[in-house]
Amino acid sequence: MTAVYRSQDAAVAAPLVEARDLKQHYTLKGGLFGEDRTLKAVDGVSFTLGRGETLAVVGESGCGKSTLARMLTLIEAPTSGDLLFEGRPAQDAMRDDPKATRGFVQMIFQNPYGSLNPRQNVASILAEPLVINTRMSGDERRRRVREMLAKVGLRPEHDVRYPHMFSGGQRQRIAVARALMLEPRVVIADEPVSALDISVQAQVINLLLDLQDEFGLAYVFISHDLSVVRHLARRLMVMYLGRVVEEGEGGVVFEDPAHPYTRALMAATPAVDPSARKERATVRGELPSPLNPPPGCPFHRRCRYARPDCKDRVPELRTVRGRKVACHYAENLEGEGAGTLRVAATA
Amino acid sequence: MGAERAAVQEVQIETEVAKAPPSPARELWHHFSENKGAVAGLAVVVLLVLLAVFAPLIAPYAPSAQFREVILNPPGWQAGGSWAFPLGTDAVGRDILSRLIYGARYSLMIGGIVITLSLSVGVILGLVAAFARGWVEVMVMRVMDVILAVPSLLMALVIVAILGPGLVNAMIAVAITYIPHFTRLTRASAMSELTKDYVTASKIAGAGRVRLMVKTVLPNCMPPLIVQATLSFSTAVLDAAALGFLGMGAQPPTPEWGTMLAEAREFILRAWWVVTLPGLAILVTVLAINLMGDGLRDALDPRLKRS
Amino acid sequence: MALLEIEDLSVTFPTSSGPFRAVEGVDLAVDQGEFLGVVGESGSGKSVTMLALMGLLPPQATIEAKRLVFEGRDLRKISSHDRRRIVGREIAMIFQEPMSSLNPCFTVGFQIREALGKQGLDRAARRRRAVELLDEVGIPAPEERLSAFPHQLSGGMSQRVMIAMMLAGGPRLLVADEPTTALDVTIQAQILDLLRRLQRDKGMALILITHDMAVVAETAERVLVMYAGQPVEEQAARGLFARPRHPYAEALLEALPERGFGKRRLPTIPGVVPGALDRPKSCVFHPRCRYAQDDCRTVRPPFAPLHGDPNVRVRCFHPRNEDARVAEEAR
Repeated sequence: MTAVYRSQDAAVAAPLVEARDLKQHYTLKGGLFGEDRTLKAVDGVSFTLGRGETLAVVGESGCGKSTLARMLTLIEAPTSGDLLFEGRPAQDAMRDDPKATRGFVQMIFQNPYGSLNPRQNVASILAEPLVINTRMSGDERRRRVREMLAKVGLRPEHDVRYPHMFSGGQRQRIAVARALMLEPRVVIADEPVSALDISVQAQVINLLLDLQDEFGLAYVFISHDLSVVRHLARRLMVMYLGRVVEEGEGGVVFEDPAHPYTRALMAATPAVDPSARKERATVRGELPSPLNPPPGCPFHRRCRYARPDCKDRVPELRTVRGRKVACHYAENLEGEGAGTLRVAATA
Repeated sequence: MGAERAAVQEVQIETEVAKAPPSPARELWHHFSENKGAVAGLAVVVLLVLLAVFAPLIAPYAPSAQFREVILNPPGWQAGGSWAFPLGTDAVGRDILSRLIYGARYSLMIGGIVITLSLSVGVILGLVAAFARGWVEVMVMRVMDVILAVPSLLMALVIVAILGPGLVNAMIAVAITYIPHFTRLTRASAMSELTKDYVTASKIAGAGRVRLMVKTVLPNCMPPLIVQATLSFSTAVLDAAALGFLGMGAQPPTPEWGTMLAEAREFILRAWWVVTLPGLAILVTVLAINLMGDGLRDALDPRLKRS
Repeated sequence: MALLEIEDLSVTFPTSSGPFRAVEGVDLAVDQGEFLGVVGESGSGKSVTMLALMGLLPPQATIEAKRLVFEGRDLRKISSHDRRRIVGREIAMIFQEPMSSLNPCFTVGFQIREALGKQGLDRAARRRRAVELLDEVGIPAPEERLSAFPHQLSGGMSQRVMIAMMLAGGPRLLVADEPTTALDVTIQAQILDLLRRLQRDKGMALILITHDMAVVAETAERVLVMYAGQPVEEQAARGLFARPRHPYAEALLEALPERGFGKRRLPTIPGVVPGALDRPKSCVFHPRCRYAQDDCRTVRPPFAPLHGDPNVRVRCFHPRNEDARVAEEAR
């Protein structure tokens, strides 16, 4: 355990990761004649993540989930807001002790074909974090690499092979192994199974679950696939255009989604047993560009429950029926939505 | 426990099925050898290298040995020729075959040094430009544009005029004119590699700039650079010969092919062999290297797309 | 008579290590106005099958078939001129990447008018027809969109434009190869709705190729499951998802997180899909099959109707879920 992050003031009660109102705004140069524009990729995201927990971040393209991942892995500093690792500002920790902080949070990417360097063999891909962040000897590193390969279900003697000699699922196992080399406490998984075939997807999901049990990992699991999220995560955060629209326990949100977007997403997700689904209606309209978000509630133009004042007031997150939701009419929606549902069911 | 056992089981099954595909080098050779012209080019290049390396053993005479009694002797197969000098002799009685064989040394050396110089400087500048962005990038790339805006031979002549004539200065001059090609190529491929996830993964692992540049990104930029270097090798041979011909490169009595051409200029009508044979040597060398370079590009390109 | 009939289709590619059969033994029939789903994992040969039908494979590929008939015309015998008139007009195809399927140099309107071709229409009529088509695929303000370039459209919009272009020839059969894989979930639902509506309204047959079991369950009437270049099961969608007969189809459905609800670990299929060179000569699935017996290891099972029922075909000696059948018959 050479690269373990040690909390300074031993704020034992502090959560593993805490994000407070994280924002990431990019300025796009307008060129010679245009004005500079602001892209609010992430606009005020807060959450806490405890040891061994899984938080799922769900949303479609442009919702800011990848930007969130870049902030959590400290590749990008947020424009504003605080990111705390065990109660301590992450940026400070990175400045004071970068090696230990890197060992705290690691990442798994979506596409196993792009995330492994094609010109490095598996041994040197996996050893890289150790070379940079520890003082292990070459023999020690080789031993660790082989151990980790065995843990993720690959043959240790394959460490001399190059990524193109492996199948997609095997590559994703290598990517998982790399993320675990520094024994992190938190792993950010950005759509780790969506590029994989179904049978391989199940293998990788099982691997992630086993490793969570073994190392007590906390996952931030970014995905658009609600069935995978439902299987993996206890808590769920739905994002739309850089903002959190609903957050709560998976059971609560899946049984009774309170935000119209969450409902739309659940209705749109195809299911093998379509009868199990509550709503059939398809949400209308395109995803708006994050460069030019609608005023007021970002979802109002596509929302079937929208009322005139939705375009004037930005809804804040508030607690409704045991989860947080950003909708002015989350309570009233219930009756109305259920009503239409019942009509649809009898028709 | 149970999970672990299941994982172990999966290992065994997975490896049973997965067979090792051919190694990258063998695959490269497989694609390269499909191109007959490229293989022929490679053969000629290998032959040239052997000639250059073993010149003292192969050449019948020393390159500057003069045989006053046989001035402008025609090649062996022509009337009046003698097989003692298979390709004839020049105006001061030197054996042309020996001079051509020694000349291969110069040509290959010129190509090698020019490419090493321009490739290393070009790659460094290109990587710096791709990583630094901002004003550093703008400055580097604009200087490269200026070099590219001047015809390369003219540029080389200017540089030689400043540095003074001579083989070394000619090589430096030619090398400078090639730098922009490598810089641009490196920058372009480095920038496209930089957007890939494996670079982000290295950043998260804590790789610093130098490590990212040299260990992570550069190896993935190599295939187009190798091709460009091979093709530039032949132009370097050609440019150095041109400089030699203009009297700005290697100086007589160096048996450099371009210089040999220049010396023979006045005999162009009387003794065709003095002019034609060095010209032919240049032609064959350049052609062979180009053929090889084309084959290399075709062999490397599909790999680029696959990986 | 079926609209499209394929019997014993195989496709072979030459590779550096010998010929590779990407697809073999594909039997397939599509009726008019039918919605057929073809599912399989990557490398199952589902796309190659359709590309072979369309004549879109590279020239070094060898296509063999006992029958390849579209509307009574033998596609193996007709000239390439006639084939071009059928493919693109009567059989149309849309692809996964709508962004790269459209030519970035030309406007949407130009490309649709191009697709309309010489149908004896004058300029104004062609323009009217283009607007109609865009309207039909649910593009708002179609007149304005005519002058848009592909890069100005979102992924969903581009896919709609592609569908409009394919409709221009009035196809009898539309082949959609992973049409929604690159799209977001809510947009995917819209496109699937659109495809289903067009198929119903126009009486057009539709073959949807996808790796996503759930997408097929939502849309298709009949499903063909492919594995390692061969069809392994074919039956009505409802039947397949309730009672899969081939062990592969059964295992694939069990591996879905949706079905694995309540369990922590998902059931998996051990091993990997066999590569180009190590496909077994006998049953292709037997090395990964829980129920494999001696006959599976020696003989390749035929793709045959199950218990004489032509609506259910399985390539397996020991089909699954037989008890349910017995129970049903008893009832």
